[in-house]
Amino acid sequence: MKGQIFEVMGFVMLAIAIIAVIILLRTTSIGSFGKTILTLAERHEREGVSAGANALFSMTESKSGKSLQELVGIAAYIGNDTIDFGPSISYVDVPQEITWRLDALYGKDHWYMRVPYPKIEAAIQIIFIQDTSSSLCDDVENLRKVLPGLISDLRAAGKRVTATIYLLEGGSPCCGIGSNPSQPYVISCDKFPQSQYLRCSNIGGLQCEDKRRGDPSEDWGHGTACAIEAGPIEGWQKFSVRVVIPISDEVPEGSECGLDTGNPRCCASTPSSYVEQHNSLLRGIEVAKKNGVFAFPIKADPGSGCCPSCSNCDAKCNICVIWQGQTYHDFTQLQCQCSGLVTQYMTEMATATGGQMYDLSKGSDLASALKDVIEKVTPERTGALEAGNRAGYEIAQRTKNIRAVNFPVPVAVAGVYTTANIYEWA
Amino acid sequence: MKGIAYATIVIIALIGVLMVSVWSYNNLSSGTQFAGTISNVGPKDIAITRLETAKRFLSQDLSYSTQSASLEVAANGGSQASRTFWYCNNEPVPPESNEVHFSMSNTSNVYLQTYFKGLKDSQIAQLGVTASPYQCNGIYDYGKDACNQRSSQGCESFKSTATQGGVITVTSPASVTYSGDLAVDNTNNRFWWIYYRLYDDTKNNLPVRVIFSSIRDQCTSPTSMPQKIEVAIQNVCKHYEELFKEDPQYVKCSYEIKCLDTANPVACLNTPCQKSTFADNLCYEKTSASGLKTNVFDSLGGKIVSAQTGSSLGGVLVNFKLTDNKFNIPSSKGLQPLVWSFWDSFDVTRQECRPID
Repeated sequence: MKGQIFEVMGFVMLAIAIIAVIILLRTTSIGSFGKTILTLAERHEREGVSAGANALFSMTESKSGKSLQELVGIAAYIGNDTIDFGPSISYVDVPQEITWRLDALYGKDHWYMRVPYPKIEAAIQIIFIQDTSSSLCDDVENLRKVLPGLISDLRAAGKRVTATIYLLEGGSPCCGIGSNPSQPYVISCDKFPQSQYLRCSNIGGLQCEDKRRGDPSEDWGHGTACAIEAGPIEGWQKFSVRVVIPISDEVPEGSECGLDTGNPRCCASTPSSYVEQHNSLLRGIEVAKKNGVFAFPIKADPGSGCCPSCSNCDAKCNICVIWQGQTYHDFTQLQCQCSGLVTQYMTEMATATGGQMYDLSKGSDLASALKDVIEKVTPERTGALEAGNRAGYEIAQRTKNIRAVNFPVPVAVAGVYTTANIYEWA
Repeated sequence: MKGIAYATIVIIALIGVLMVSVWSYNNLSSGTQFAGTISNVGPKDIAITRLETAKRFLSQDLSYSTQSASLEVAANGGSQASRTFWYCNNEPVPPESNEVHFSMSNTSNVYLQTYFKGLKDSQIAQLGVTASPYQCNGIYDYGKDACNQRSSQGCESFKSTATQGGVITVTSPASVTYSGDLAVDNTNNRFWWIYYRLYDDTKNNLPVRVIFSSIRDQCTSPTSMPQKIEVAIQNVCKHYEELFKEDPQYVKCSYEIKCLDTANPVACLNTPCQKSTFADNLCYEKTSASGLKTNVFDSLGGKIVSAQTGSSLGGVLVNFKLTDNKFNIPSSKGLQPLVWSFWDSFDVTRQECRPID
């Protein structure tokens, strides 16, 4: 009996000892082993994705000889997935180049890549060439009211816009304009509240080869050439979008033809009489094209808006001019008759430089015209480079274990980086 | 007795179990140590991966910087000044190779420094990666012999390096440091091909010969002298396109006459265009790394020139632009073709008319 008790006790002790050893091993070593194996497995998977992404960025695209990293950086700068490397290499479609490579590495439809493009806002530099003849007084007053607020609003919205107004020399005072209509209104830079983003200067102070001819206050052809050559007051920036906006209601050098004969008239029917005026326009176009400047001429109302027939006009269509100390209320019939030619000239300049002409006499609003200009010249950019299976990624986010890696990518503009996000799932 | 015998067996078995347990534990604990080692290596692996990533994107920064510099230096005519004269009053004064290398080295380093500044605001800083800037960029082209060929095939790329600095430190999840130079190949860029071809052409005085020949050819032409000079300048442009003749023709020439005076030729020739001998050392060839602080164009000198009175038909100051449309180069300026822009001042002198048969 005693022996049996010893026997049972012995087996019980043995069982307890074995269980204790097993628990000890389970809690100490094997548990940590399990965790380690799990950690290692996860790390292997993540490192696999990471290695794939590293490999991708080091691969070279055959046509351009550029690494995928460089291609992504260039695409991020230009804000476009397709890169034009010139006639020798032609276009490279970056998402396409990424897709077939990552399909091979991760498996088709088992990955998604997104590279947000940085917000690179090109500086937009605008030069206004302002006709200073008395018929433009109301337009200058309008510009004075509209421009400072517009620049502030655009800058607050993140647009890097600056404007320089160059006033053509000469011009007569006018009347009936501004806060005190009884006082002569002289077009000058004092009218504009200047800031580091909005400046004004007289064009006569510029050193340039192109001198204004004819009526200098209206020679916006040579004026455009001169202002572009001199650049805005802060100087042309290297990567800026450049815009020139001549504002006038006459052809360059003035719409009058036959002044020397004592019979001033509009020569719309005889274009050859306008050789000088057209040469002035061509000079402006030439310099604008050479300097990569978009021209958006604004045609002020020469009276045709108020009086389409340009004759027997209502007195309300008159402009108030001060000439040699005397006040006159005149209708500029000749300028009115030349309205069509002004449109033609301004359209020619706009078309040649990739811009657009705005006709204020047809009800265009100055503020909306300027906003439209900014919108047109702002380079279009897509938000991000995307490749792979986006829909699959969105489903996998809810149902599967996704492995993600992030890589910094230098952008082709100095000092800017973005991040490539790559997701892979089984 | 029987119970004791049983007890002995159990005790022996117990001792056996204990021994096995100790042996197993010993084995397992050494395994655990290995597992621990593997686990500890993990953060270091990640840090090293980040280091490699940092090296890769810094190399890319170097490539972008060099490409940007090539566009900028070419637009300046081979120097850091806004305009570089290749002819000064009929005398060829193109920038020497070491001067162009110097400008490229400095300009690309300026761009590279901008990239290093940008690191602080990027995701890279959040990854625990910091890098100290490189102080010197090296520029290595294939040399005059390879580049001064009719075909650009052997000279469509060049190498650049970044040295003197660049300690990359990763602090998270482990601390790893790398100190080393970077080197990249800048492909699809014919900067040096155009430079060496143009340099050789200028040194051989071919554009001046074209002008004189053109004036001679127009000897009996009724056109005015300014028109004749403009035709001569047009012919120089044609000559440049011929110099880079290919099929299809990628290099286009344009010009802008900045000053043309036949009544008083000196008016156009009094431009400071003489240069003193370039004496600065390249930071990557000699120990002197004065590059970033020295403005090579402080040495630009001016002198009053006088036209060859009596024989001078006119003075002309002209800005030539050679645009290479073969490749668009990625840079801080966007994707742009390479444009070499340089200035020449010519004193157009009277030429003997060709004999008429």
